[in-house]
Amino acid sequence: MAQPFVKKDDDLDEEEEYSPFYGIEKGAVLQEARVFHDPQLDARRCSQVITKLLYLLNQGETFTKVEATEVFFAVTKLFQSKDTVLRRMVYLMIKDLSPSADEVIIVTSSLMKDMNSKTDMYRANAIRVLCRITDSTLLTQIERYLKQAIVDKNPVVASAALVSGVHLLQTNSEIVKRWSNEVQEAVQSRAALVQFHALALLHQIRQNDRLAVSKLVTSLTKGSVRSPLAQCLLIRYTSQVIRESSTNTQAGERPFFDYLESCLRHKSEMVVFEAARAITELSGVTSRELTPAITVLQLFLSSSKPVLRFAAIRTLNKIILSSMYGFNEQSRFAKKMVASTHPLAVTNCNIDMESLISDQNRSIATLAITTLLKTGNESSVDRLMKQITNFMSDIADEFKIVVVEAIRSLCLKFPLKYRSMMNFLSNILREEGGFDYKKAIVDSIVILIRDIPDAKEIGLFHLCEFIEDCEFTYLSTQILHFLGNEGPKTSDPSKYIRYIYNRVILENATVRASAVSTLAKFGAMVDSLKPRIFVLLRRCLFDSDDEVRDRATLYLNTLGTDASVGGTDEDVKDFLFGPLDVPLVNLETSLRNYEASDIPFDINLVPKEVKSQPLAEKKAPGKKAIGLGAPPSGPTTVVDAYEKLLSSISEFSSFGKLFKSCSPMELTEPETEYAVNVVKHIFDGHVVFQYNCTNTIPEQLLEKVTVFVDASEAEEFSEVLTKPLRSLPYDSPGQTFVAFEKPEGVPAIGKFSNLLKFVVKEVDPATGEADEEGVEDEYQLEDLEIVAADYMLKVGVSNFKNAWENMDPDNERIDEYGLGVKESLAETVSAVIDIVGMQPCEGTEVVPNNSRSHTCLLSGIFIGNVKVLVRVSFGIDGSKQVAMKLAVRSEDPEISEKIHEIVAEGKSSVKGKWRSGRWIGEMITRSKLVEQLREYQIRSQHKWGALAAFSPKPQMATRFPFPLHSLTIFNYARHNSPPLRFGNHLSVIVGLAVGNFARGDD
Amino acid sequence: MAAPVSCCLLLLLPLTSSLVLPSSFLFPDPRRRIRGVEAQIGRFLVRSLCTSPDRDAGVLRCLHELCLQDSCPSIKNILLLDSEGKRVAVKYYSDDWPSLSAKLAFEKSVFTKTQKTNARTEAEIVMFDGYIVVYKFIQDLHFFVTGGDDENELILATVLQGFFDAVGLLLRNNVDKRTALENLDLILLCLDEIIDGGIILETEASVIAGKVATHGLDGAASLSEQTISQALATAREHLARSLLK
Repeated sequence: MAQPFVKKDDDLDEEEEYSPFYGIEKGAVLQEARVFHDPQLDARRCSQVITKLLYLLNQGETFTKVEATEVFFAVTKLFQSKDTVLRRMVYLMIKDLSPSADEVIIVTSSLMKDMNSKTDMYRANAIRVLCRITDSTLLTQIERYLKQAIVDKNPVVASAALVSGVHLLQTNSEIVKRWSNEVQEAVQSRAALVQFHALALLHQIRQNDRLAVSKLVTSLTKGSVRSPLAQCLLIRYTSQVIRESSTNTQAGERPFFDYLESCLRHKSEMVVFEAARAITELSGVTSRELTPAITVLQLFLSSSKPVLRFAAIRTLNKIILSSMYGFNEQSRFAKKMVASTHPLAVTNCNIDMESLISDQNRSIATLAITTLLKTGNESSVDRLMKQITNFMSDIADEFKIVVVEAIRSLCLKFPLKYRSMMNFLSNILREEGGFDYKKAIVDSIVILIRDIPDAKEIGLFHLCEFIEDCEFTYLSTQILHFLGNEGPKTSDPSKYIRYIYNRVILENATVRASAVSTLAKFGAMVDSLKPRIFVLLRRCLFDSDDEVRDRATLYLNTLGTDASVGGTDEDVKDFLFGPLDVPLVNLETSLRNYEASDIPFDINLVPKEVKSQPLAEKKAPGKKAIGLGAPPSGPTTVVDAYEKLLSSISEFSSFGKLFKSCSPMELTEPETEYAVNVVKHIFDGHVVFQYNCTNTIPEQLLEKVTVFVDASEAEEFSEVLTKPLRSLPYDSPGQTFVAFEKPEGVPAIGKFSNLLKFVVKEVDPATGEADEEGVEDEYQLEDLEIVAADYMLKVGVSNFKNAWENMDPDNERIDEYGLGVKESLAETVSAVIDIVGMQPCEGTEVVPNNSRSHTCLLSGIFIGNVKVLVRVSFGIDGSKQVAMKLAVRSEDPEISEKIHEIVAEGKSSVKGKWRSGRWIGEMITRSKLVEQLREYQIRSQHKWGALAAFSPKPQMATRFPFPLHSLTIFNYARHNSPPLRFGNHLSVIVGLAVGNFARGDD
Repeated sequence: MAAPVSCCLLLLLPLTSSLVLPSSFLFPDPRRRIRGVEAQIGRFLVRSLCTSPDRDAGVLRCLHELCLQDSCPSIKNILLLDSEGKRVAVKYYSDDWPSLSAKLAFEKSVFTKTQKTNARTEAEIVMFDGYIVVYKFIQDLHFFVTGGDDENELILATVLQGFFDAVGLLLRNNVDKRTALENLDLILLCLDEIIDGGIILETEASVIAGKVATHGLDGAASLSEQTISQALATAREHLARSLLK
């Protein structure tokens, strides 16, 4: 028995002294390495030095190239020694140094000698070292020995060769594939691990040959595999075969399932678990198939080994997860198939899982809790909450977040239980915790408040209590903002005022500023509180911070009856609650470019176009932006780049401000000689086509490149100027421009045919010089169209309902359309969005699977800076007839009409485009349409209510960007603009500009 | 079940049209990754590679990642730390931690996450950052074995047990930091015999210890240079060898 190691604080130093490596230094050790060169090798000492070198490497020390080479050569000398320990250390050292190709040659012969020596230990290790450092030419030399080694009697040698084979397969697969006969033989080996390694290698060699893998599995499942590890491998391969075969054969027994089931009775737990896991992961597994696996896992749950318990609970948790999210989030088929059966099967384990809540290992406890929260039913919620309360105090924050999220989803599942869960959340909110944890709780409460109306008052109260003692500025400001929006609508708004004003007294400047905004909101919404709010705001005028004072002044003026500054009540509310419909990144760039002058900063000049994010990023799952802190994802500066480019061309400067630049449209097929795409730039009275040309022929140089545009099918346009491209060498894109004049402010449409004209000159590929003489040539490009959508800027609003209600209902135009037979609703929705070219809001562009009706919210800015909001309701009936009700509100009734025209035209004009039959079929009778719409309205009424109140994907960030963001702007201006004094001016200017903007376009 | 897979692939189709296909999209969250669909995706990618050569950069990278998805159990690293989280001996077999600082950061977080647990009688387990770590402590030494989050936990535990017991045998049950450092060569050889490049070589403690110890046969050549404790250790090794055979 080892003596207990007594360690006291005071002899710590002494203990350090005892370490054989105390005070070790690289330089000194490298000096010591000179013993390797001694003619009389002292093996013991040499291996000690190597140990020291390895120790240094292990501690993260690195050798320079020179040092490494030096050590490597010194080490190679040690092959002279016969000492076995030393030899093993030499092997280790060579592996760790990983010498370069030209150095490898030095040791190759020594290692090959070892490979054929009589000592098995040498052979095994020499094979491993050699295969680690070898390259393909060397490999062909030693291939013969390796093949022999694979079938060697000594299992260590065979394993070494097989494992090396697995590694080599990545780099020299051709060579390794030639060994398959030997590997096949090794699979039958009696030595357990040789079998394992051989199986792994054989499978990797054959993994692309489905039939071979299937054969391999068939032969081995009959029972010649001894090692548990090899069994595990075989189980993995088997389930792979099952998965692949089941894609072909639909009905009948699952092949090899008997084998998996028999593995559940294996004596090694490793194999049992692997089999259980494989069964649970089978696609479309039935209850009957699942039961034995779950029984096994249930047994594991009560094991004394934490690893077993963990493995079991994690697998059960995965079953629940997979049934909740479906086979994978995107697949609705599998979802239907498993959702009904699995939770039931797992429910049997509930009792065992409950005992795990108090498990020593917190990973296990957390998994148990989250699984239980998902399997639990309404009646067990209270009991569960009680248990969790005891458990929360002693787990790490990251686990707590998992629990909080599980509780949030549970609460949404059982809204009636909101009281106990809200209590729980408020309790844990009071306890100690880091920022992420607190944020998760606050997010949860906010979501519950929004989704469960009954929980609103109690939830707001808890949040108020939290900000009384909140150390996180970010959370305080967010909560204050939320309070400002929700608080005034409660039955007794006055009770929140105390909490808010406390912030003004006690907190830092950022929170104070936020609190001032919140107070103003209460003042604007609740008339009875207005005088009191005024008193409080006036006190804020004496605040030490500029921002707080500025805000107080601004709000006092806006809310005040003082007619000189204040507008109507409506404007005030719009200012306070309205969204900031300028993308922040654009605003930031504009502020950066703003120079101090007499002209005030005009927020209307900030570009509003949001560039849509790349598809992949948008769709990336796992990035659920729930709650407060969805970071404002910034649009890229492509628009800015265009603007800069156009403003650099003097001819276009008279056109005024760029309204919109469309995304590039290809005018040539890919892989042709000249690649041309066009960007349409829309100005108030002009249109500029920017042709981006690329010459893909190295032997040619193009000069005087222009595009001849035939506008005979676009009556309202007349060409004003052409800007040719002087020369277009190979592979360096250039631009040529053509500008058209059109009636000012009118969304004229038309079709243009394009012809690329240029002078082509031969280029000598050798010298790169072009011929003197050139030939004129032309190249037909595809047609291009200006459509109505080009006059629409995609500008989102964060709160569609507010924006909609603030728009004059008199300007609303509603019409109904029958769209005929469509394949799906989703397709129709995206087609309509394309036609109008507007920005879908609140995630309504996504149509849930199988839904029969859908409402899509769109917003945009039409040319002439007219805000347009569109609410489109779709309905589809059994025979796939789609009907659409389009409601348009805009600041100008004519524009509302215009949108309808666009849609009506879009319907007919795109007929040609959608020849496939998607837009045809308007032969729908009037009576049928009316009937359909009525049915649809009844069905969708309920849904619309919900939609209007909450967006389907609640995103807090979009809900209240204003105070936080404006703060960032203010702070930004203060810290980043070069002259500090100017910064304060700017903040006021921006504040006023924002105010002006909110008040209208005057 | 052709439906879900083809459904997935349909969804993937528009994605491949962007030149840079983010592999993180194919495997968004390792916890939701489904084994086996990969094979289908792989075939799909190969097809898309044939039809549209201009996308091959992204597609090839995806394929490469798919190939790395080895179904053979693999170990990401083995760590032997002291009671303050400092390295005694560590071995990494995966490129998940490319730099020394990344490695040290991983060790630090493993150590702090497991520090307060009692892993002295039974091996414990923790999952974080998409890795599974099984660990066991003795005296002032902390043993860790890390695997990917898709790995069979029990295989990892077997490797840990093999390493732990083998070290116990090699150090004659006198397992503490000091002895371990004094016999660092044995520990390093031991690690070398357990895992080769992430693949499990051997899990049976007595076999591992046997392989390491046979090398000490002629090791005791010059006793004069040894300290007493080293001499004792050598003597123990001899004894161990005779016992182990």
